[in-house]
Amino acid sequence: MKKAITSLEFDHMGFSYDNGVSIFNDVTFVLPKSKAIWVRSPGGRGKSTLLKILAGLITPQTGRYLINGQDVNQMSFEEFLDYRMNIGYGFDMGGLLNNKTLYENLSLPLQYHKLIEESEVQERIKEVMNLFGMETSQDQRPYAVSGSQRKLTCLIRAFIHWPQVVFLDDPLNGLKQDNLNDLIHYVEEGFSGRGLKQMFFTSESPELAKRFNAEELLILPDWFTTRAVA
Amino acid sequence: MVQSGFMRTVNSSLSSMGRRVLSPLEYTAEVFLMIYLSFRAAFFDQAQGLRSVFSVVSAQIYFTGFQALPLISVLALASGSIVILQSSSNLSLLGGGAILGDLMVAIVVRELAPLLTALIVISRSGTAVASEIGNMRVNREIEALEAMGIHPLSYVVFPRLVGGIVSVVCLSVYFVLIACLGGYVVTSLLHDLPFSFYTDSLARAFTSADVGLFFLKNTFSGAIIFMISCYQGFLVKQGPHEVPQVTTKAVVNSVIYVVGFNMTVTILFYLSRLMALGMVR
Repeated sequence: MKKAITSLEFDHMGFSYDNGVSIFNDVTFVLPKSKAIWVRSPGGRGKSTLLKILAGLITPQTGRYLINGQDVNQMSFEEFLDYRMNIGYGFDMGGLLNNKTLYENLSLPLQYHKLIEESEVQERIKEVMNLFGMETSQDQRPYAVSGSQRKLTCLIRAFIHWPQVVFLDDPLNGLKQDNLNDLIHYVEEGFSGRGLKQMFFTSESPELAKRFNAEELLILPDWFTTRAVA
Repeated sequence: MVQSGFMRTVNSSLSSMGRRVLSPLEYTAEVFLMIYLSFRAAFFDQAQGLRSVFSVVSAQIYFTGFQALPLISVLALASGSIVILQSSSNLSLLGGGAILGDLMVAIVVRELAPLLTALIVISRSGTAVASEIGNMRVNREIEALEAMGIHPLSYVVFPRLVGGIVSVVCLSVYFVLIACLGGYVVTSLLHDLPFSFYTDSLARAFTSADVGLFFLKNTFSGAIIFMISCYQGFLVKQGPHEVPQVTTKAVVNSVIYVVGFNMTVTILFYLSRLMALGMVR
């Protein structure tokens, strides 16, 4: 069911918001294959938009976004699903289903797509809840827990099916230092033996970039470029 | 070529008239497109098991159907009592008491039950669905579903539509039962009306056409309400301030479309009756 992702690239890609503001214009770029990629730009220049395009949540209006050379714009939801099963996405805010408990939020993708057995689902979520110290909150709904726990749950859900590529939009914002250390440990575990190959993230802080020796992806008007983190 | 002021006014009036005609058509087409896509997604979605659909459908039936029972009971009781009381007292004076059942069927079964049930469902559940989906858009829950590989139309719209239709039909059947039986009980406290006379009159009045009309009206009213409410909810783009706006629009549009549909079906029904009697060609 999961389709391996070998390349991500843009071919004359352009994207504008509904209000007509153009954010990317005729960008042709092959995304780097480094383990960790820190997406940076001046404020409001499209970091979150880029991550959403890469995750297939929105599509560029002009040009092409290619996964393994296949145009995502031309794929139906069902056709893209095999790639999506290898993609994780962590929202900068929101993104949890409010009528479900934290446990249900985490188990939903696993149960819905029947990725693993029910007993394994319980085991996996119990393990992750223990790791992040959220055992007591697992039966609470998102509005009943702290902001950092909501953020954490949203981040964990991006990894829960152990995808190959993860996109995290501002993962450190609203996260406690303890949780950050746990998250780093969790991501390292993913890289070492759970099939995780790439992590794209935006962040104001260089902490995650330094920890994972990330490559920097700079978004500049009309073109992207990469460099090693100083 | 420079247009004269008059021609510009004519052109502008025509284009504004055109927009007014096209806009509801465009809206209707978009609503139907969303429903087509949600059915398509639900049938093509291999992952969405019956269990997942059933849990949302049953929740929808509970909130839309079960929780509306007290309000429907009061309305049905009042409508049934009023129609029976007014008809039986006035018809007795005129000596036409035997057509009491026909009046009950014509007024309650064919018209009041579908229309009042739809209005109650619009006010309770249509608003709830539109604002729920609107808030889901604001909180990025819809995006989150997509990110998890769950089609929002098959996961959110399809079960609400199915649950909504089932609820409206069941509520309307309940409305008729309460209106006919409860109405009789209330009336019998004030007015002497033999039960056998009443039930015979009702049984004689019911035809298969009434049953068909009843289910046609209720099924489509349920579909219209939940199609429009879901569609309006999905229109939220910018933020929370849009949620009350789309909710209001969902109510207004649902009322217009449901009343329009009910009126059209009623007119066609009576036209077909008149044609069968040879009164209209």
